[in-house]
Amino acid sequence: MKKKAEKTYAVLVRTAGFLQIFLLFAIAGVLFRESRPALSQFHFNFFVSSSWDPVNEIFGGLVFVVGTLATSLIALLIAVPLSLLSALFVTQYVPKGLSSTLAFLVSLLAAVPSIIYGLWGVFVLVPFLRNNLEGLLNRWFAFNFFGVSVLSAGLILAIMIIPTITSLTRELFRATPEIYKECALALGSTRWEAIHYGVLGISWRSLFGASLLGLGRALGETMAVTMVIGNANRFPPNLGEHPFKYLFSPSNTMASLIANEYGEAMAGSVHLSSLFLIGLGLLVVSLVTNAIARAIVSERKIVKQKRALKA
Amino acid sequence: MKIRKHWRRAKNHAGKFACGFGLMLVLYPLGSILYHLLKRGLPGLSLDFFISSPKPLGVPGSGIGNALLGSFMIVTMSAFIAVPWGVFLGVILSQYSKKKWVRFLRYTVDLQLSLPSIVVGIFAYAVLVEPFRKFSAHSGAAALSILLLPVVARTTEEGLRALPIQIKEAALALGIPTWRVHINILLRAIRPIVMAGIFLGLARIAGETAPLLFTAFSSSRWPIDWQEGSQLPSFHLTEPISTLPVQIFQYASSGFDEWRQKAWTGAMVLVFWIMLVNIATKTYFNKGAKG
Repeated sequence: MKKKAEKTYAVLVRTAGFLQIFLLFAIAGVLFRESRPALSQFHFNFFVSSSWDPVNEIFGGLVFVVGTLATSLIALLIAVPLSLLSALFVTQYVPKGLSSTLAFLVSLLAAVPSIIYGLWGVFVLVPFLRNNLEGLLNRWFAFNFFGVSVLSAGLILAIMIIPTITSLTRELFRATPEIYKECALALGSTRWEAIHYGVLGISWRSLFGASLLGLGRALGETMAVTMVIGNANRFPPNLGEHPFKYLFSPSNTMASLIANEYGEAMAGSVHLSSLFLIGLGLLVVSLVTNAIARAIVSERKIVKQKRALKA
Repeated sequence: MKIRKHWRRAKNHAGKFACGFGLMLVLYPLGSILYHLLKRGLPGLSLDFFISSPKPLGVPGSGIGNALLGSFMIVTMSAFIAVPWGVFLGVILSQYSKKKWVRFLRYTVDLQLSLPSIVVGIFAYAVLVEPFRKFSAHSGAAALSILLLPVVARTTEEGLRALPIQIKEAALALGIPTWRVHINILLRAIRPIVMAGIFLGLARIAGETAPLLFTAFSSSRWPIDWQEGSQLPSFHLTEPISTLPVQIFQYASSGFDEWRQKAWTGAMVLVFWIMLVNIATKTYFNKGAKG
């Protein structure tokens, strides 16, 4: 009787594990199966062609790939320095009690759902950008700026990935050995110099990893981006003359395109299949980004570092 | 020499100032979001808003009643799938961690944790919506449970890892079977941690919109009906079901001021609820875990 229970339990536990592995493969497999019609029709030209034409059933995803990369890049450029500074402030400059409160506030930012950022973006951020930039852009480039743009999507994404990067870097800074900082202080360096050499200087690699994890989140973010990017399926005209204009034009990302056009695409059509192909691309890109990031900044490494310090 | 001293001092102060300024910039959006939610959401708050379903435009009295109930149902359903499965995964990850396939398993859990929610959504669509040609509550719950699963698994794993090994050794030395050690002793010891993880995970999936757009879709009907004469209410689980985030999205993108107002009030309710869960779990369960 006892043996039987034991065996059942072992089987149960293993099944849970195998099912989980199967699930991930199933996700990739199903997306691949569904995107085969599009793949066989457009091959890998799909990702370098920029025409998205549901009427004539010609599909290419370059606009959306560029949109995803551009918005994520803007987000990283803003989020990484800000996260770094705020993580430094929280770990190095404030007393411990206040520090955990501040960290908690930052983590609340992570708990706010994507749709709320979208709502705020549409009704607060976009009007703000329009009011402040419309006149300038009109004078300089003589073109109309509506507020919905690649830039606003990038800004929203930045706000959304800041808590991810901040909490990771905060953990890192807390795990760095105090001794380097103390040595620097003992040699007569200022506090900033001690932080510069003793904290920042030894954690560049992990910072890179944390940024990649933030990038992973930015790549797949959907709702907030959908609401503020303007959903234009082609590059703005005359982009060659003013590449700068791209920032202030509406566009679409891979994720926001899927959210937008799913309702319109008919079951079994090439259109739907192309959307699946975009989804597959998104899956691959985010898996690769996250795999690299986790290889660099594995949590276990932090724990090991902590243990080594205590010993 | 003196100039250099001043330079270093200036740099020191500038660094401190920059860090504080950075944190202020980071926290500014949080303040702004909460401010606008309250400012634009509060005027629409009424009891009616909570208990009525969306009406056609122009008809007064649209609310989020059915969406609240729908969200609750879908989140509960996904918890029924993801919580037991996730806890088992956590047990495997922590107790059998030396095995090769378990190392691979950890990798897949990590990857699943960072899966874009929209990808999960189209997967659920392809498997559970397309074959039946019908949006359903089931498919939405399935999509959300895929997102919840790795969260539960990782919290359980971390909780189990933090336990002193002596507890396990002592239990096994008493001749208690492994499954009882795992379930009655180890998991019970970390119950507050697992509960906190589950609640935080539930708060996270309750706000998900993207995967629900084309699985649960939306509906202006109530997900539960109580017909005259029947003993039990009938659940419409194979029908499209309305959820709070999707309802907010629809109100927000409608382009009518009256409905935008509803979107803000709905958003305020959602955020208030999520923050409440976050604050409550982080204060209550953390204390429970420590002392």
